[in-house]
Amino acid sequence: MNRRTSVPSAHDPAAQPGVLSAFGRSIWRYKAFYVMLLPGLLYYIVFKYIPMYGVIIAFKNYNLMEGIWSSPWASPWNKHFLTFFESPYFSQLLTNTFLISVYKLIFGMVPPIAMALLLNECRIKWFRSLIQTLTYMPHFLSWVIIYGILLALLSQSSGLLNRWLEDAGGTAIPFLTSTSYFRSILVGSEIWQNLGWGAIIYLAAIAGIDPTLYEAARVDGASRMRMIWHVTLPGIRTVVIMLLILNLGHILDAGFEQIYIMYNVQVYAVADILDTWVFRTGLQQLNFSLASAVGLFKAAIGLILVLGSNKLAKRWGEGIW
Amino acid sequence: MRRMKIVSVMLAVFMLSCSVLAGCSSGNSSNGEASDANKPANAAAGNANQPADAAADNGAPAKDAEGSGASAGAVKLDIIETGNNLPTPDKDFIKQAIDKAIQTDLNLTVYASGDDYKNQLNVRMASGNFPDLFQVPDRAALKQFVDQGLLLDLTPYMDKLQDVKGFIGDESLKKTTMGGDVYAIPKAPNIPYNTYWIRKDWLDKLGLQPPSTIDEFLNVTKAFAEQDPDGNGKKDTIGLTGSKFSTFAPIFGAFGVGDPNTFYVKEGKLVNSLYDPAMKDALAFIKKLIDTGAVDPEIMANTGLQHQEKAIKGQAGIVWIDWPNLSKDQFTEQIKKVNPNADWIQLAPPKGPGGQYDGPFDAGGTSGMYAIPKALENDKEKLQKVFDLLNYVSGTDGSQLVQFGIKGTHFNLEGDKVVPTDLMGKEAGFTWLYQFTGRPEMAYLQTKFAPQSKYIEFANSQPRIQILNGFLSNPDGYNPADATRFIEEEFVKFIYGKNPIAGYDAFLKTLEASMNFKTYMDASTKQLEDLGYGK
Repeated sequence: MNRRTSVPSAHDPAAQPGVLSAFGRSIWRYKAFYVMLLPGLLYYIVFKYIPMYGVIIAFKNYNLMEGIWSSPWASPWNKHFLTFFESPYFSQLLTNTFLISVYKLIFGMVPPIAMALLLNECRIKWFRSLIQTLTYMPHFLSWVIIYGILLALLSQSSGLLNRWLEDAGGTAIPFLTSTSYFRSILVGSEIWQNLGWGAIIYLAAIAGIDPTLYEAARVDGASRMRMIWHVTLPGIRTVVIMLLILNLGHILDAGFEQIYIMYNVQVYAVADILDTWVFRTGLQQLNFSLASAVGLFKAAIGLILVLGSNKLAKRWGEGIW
Repeated sequence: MRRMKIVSVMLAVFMLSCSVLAGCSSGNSSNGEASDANKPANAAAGNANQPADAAADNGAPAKDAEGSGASAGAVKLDIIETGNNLPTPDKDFIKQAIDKAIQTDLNLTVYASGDDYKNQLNVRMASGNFPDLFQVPDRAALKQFVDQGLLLDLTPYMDKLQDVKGFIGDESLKKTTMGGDVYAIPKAPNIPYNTYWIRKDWLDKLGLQPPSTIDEFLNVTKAFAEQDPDGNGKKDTIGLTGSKFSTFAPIFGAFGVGDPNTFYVKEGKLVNSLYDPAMKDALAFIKKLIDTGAVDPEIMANTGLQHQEKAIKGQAGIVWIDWPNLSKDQFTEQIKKVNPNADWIQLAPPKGPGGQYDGPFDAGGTSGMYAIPKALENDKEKLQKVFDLLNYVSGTDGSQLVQFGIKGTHFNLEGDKVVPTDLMGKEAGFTWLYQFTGRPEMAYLQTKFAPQSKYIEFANSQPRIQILNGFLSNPDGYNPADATRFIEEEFVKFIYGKNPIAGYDAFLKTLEASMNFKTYMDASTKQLEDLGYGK
């Protein structure tokens, strides 16, 4: 097809071919980019979109022998959602999940930024790399090991900390079995685990700030604190907000593995989250339909939150897309 | 220039993290458990030569049997169960002997933790990757599998399983019968292992007698925590430890009640312990015991064998545990290493107002049951081999093999008596993994654990409350996970004084109202009455 001529042709009933061909031309023109996009697109289609077909088991009474397609539909269609919503623990589960997650988000955001700033300001190179290595190591520890460490430190009967407390004349504190401490332990250990790892991202962002800005600030007589406040922090604002938005999508993932390993009957009231409940009720009892219903519910909430927060961020001029 | 390089490295890390984050955010959380699905497949890779070699000893020209296995009739059987310490196939003389006897190529995979096993099994079932024979974790799981139509109904094949039937006894099959059909093979009846164990040396040091009533028990527990029995000048000992509510099993027993939510027959009537009037008294006493501050504050958080560890380390003076975990040679060694004077003895259940029972023992329980997937129905040859295997380990030769090892190497026969050789202790520790239909418990243990035989006798001869939960399956509309959680949580509140025991009746009401417990009670009562209990 050629460029649209200025003379409207009488024998062309469709008014659109011009637009279509423009689209086609633009694809043709950037064909190299589209070819490069293809593998990524394929990955998402094959591994992310096609498996979504399985989501329909949330609306079926999934039977392993009959498979996804021939399992009977649930009646009413939202049976498994109702089971979940009507569980006596529903509101408690949701509250716990939400609170633990929000605590982790809020209290977990500042320490890595502070860490990154400190590392950035540190001028002794070997000390800096030492600290950085030390702080990001815990990221690679599994929760089982971290729980072992916590147990050795905080156990009421044999923990080091409680031994000290008792020797100093105090009484042992049930850190791991008391409802008043458990969430703090969860959040604390998560922060400890991810402090250094989180700082890497911020450090990278800081490294990307144009050095001439610092030079200019120095010429204007800015102190170090001033430079941090007026150059470094605004420089990483985009990254901070982006990470926040991405994390909001996970607001209903409060950390299954960590909690499953650390909780016990005495702290269920503050520690039982959606995922642990699904594990006990859905997966351990072969009730996969219930498990996917809850998964779908979580995904929906996460999607709403991501879209909403992005919109909000855009209003401040910082959205991801 | 150097700075630029750092920047680019940093950026690379940053981008990587971003893409990881993005990948996670688009993932679906409900499939997190599936990641290990392929694990069981690799356990016995590279053992194709084994049956051939074994057969070669027999003079059979089976050198080419590896590969498909079909040519020489060696059928490959995939078996999974819980267990540990399985040797590699080339050192696994039991596998080799069985393969030789019934022309199979066994591929046994074991999982150390019960929870792990359950997950793996569920994943394999869900993905259609069925093992040919597998352990069913419990009765609830059996019902789930049957409901899903995953298990082969064994009823029509019973005449092919004569040896098995003779070995485990007809009565045992009740445990795996569902709606009149047999869906799994239970192991031969087992015996109870658990008792209270107490530090004799601590008792002597404080000048105390082993407690025989629950009041004495309370005093001893208290003394162990307060009077420094280990003599290190510090108040760092615990009176009593254990895992969860089983810590108090004999205390419940002393009031004549079973552990929380167990069914038993009392005075001719079927009772659930939650509705037993004596339950309140038992809880009140346990609360009194905990109020002394002498009970391990972490009993509810003790998972696995943490209570055993506390006992071995010399922290606790009384522990509710099974005899193997405190009296097997490896543990007595550890105990002596910590303190050469440590002396653990078993304690008879203390007497209370409801009698003297060393906790509950499940009449319907088994130490394991094994099922065959329905998918095997059409593979007659394989199915026959599975039957052959089950019959073989139930017959005289096979049973001796999986109990004691190879005749002439690990044991010798003197008349009917099995005499172990030194090698048995060294090499044959894992043979129980192949006891798919169980073993004659008492005789087996006395032979294999001769040094522990007095502990075995003791644990076995204590009076127990016979509970019936092993016969039950959960009705629809009852969510056992929620109900169990509710019961445990409320019980914890009662015994730790967070809720007054006066509120017990209100607890039962809530349980019935919000957990559908009434449905469960009615269904369970009916199931048990159908079996002839409490009538």
